[in-house]
Amino acid sequence: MTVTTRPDAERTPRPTGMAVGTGPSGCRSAGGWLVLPTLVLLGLVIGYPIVRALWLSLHTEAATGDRTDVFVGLANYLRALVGRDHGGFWNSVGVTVLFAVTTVALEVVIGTLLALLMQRVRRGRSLVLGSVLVPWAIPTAVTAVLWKWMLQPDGIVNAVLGKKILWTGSEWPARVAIIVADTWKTAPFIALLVLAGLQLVPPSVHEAARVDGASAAQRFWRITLPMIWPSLMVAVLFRTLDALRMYDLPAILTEGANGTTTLSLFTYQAALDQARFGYGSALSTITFLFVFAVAIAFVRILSRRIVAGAGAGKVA
Amino acid sequence: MRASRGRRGDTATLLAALGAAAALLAGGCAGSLPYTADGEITVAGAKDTSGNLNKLIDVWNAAHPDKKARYVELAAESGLQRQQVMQNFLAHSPTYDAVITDDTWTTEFADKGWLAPLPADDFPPHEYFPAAVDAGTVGGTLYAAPYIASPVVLFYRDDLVARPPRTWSELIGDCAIAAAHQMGCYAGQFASYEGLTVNVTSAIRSAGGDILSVDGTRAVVDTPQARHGLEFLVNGFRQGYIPKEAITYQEEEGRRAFQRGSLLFLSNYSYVYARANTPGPDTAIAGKAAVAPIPGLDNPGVTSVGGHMMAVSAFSRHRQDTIEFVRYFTGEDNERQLLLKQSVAPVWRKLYDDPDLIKRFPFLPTLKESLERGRARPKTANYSALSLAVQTAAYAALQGAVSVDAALAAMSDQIDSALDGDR
Repeated sequence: MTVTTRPDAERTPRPTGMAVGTGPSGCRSAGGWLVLPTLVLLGLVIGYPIVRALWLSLHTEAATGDRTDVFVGLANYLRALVGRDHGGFWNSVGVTVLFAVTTVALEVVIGTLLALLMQRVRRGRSLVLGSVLVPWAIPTAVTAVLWKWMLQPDGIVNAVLGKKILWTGSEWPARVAIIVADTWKTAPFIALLVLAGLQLVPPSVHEAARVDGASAAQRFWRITLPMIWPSLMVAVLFRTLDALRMYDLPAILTEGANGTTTLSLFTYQAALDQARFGYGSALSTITFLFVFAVAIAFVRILSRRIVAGAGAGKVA
Repeated sequence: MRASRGRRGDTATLLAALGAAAALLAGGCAGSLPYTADGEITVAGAKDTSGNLNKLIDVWNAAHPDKKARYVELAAESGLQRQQVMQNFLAHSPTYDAVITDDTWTTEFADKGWLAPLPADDFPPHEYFPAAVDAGTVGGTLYAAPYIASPVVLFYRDDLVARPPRTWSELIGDCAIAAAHQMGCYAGQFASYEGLTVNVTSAIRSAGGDILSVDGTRAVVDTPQARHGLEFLVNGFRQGYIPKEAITYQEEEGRRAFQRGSLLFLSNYSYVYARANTPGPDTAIAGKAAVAPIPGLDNPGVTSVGGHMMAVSAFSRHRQDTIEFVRYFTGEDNERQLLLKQSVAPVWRKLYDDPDLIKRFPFLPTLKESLERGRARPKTANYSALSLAVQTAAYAALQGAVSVDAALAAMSDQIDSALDGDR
């Protein structure tokens, strides 16, 4: 991935997008003007909703149903963080983190194994590739409905297990159901990115290691893993950010019952079911900041490791 | 000189580009909002699966060429329909003149000033079931015309049970029959969702209690009556007259269990009747499913009459024409078609006494009895929060995680908090 390339000090200076009319030549100025519509459009579709959500989060709607919003300062934020909804809010944060950690961990292990399988298999490779990728191609909402059917009390999952578990009827079975469904759906995504990383490992390195007497396990831990580390980490980052915003699976499988209300579902209930747009905007802003902070932390910590990992790969 | 000409050229290009972008945006908006020709009455509602709604509109349009109507299909799911409608109302948009609503939206929409009052002369209250009129009435004024009734009734196997139970103790007595046939006895909707709120509300009312005070300002679930009601459901799971898997049942799961032949009694909406009794691969009990009013503590129970209403937007540019259209659309003749063509329960009382209709739908008198006794779901401007409070507290009790008393106390607190002026 491009993350591994160090930024070149002698790189040409970045074109200044907003430098309308300030450039030394008329050509530069024309470029600025030409970029402007795009910037305006981006501002409209990205900037406006964010600014509007921030503005809304500081207001509450008038009971009359007119859009005359009342300024309430940080009351919406306080209500969630320490106020009367703090129980439900922090509970949903805990549930979200639980789902993110467990699903991403499972998906990394299973996804890597799938990628190794896809790389190794000689005959019927396209069949394996196709069948591994099918879950990823199915929309999440459809996945949720499929699993809901399979997890019925008299459904196929109980028939195969030979047990009668009420999957959506109590806390841990419901959580396990969501974790399993999410892992089933998105492990292929990790597998795909890891497979791309695997293609970059030169076979000669493996051969050299084999000649030196390295065991299969040693070759995986010392050669393969360090070399796929960058692509694996990008996959983990994407998945973590996705998992922290998980909505569809719990919304359809359990409707948030039995301790499966994620932050997004909690926000949805407040903002749309109960039509509290100000409070809902505050919740989405909190979600946004939370996900953003995790992303920044991830990039900070991992970019260092990625460079180190790539270095290790080269050394081996 | 050259530079300034270039600059002007740039500006022209920029304006052209912006214009194109604006046109694109405007185009996008026009695409997502149905275009309303002036003078056209736009009616928004769920998907017209039977095709009957558009036929009714064709009839109207033939008779009223000067005030034609058009049907706009909203999302399939009720929560999404609500969002679409609310977004239009929040923007004070005149796009939808009439809206087919869920009965629980009425109070909220009317409170916010989004609905036009309907004249009582056009919609005479005594023609409809009391629950349907009540669901459309806010502060003594009718804001939504009754359109479709949706009562919960008790389905039972008339090949196994001679006389349907009128009370809970009779029902529990009949469970010996279920046990003898290795089947579950009773189920309703007990997963944690709106259906549970309906079942709990109906159980509490069937024991003489209620969810909200008469003025709708506070919870009244901390009463012996409410305890009896919730206990009927909680004891069902504890003593086994409700099968364990029913904790995961929504309408469809329960219907399938009943049609497989693994349930003796099922509380559900009237649509189950046709599905269970029409011979086919998905029902093992065709011709054996019968209908009765739901049982209660000492008397037949008080069912929850859900249903759909038809409301006129306060922002409509042709309010009078729209009211006239709604009167036609929800009128007696069309309600008869509703029953005949779409198999849904009409809100007009007199249709239930029509001998021709009774011959075709023998369960009509039973349905009428349920509808006469039934009540609308609790009326509040924040129904979603109330429903969430009822289902969350009741669900914990059904799971055996908390006692009935603790559940009702929590329910009471949560409802009061939901009703609180501080939204």
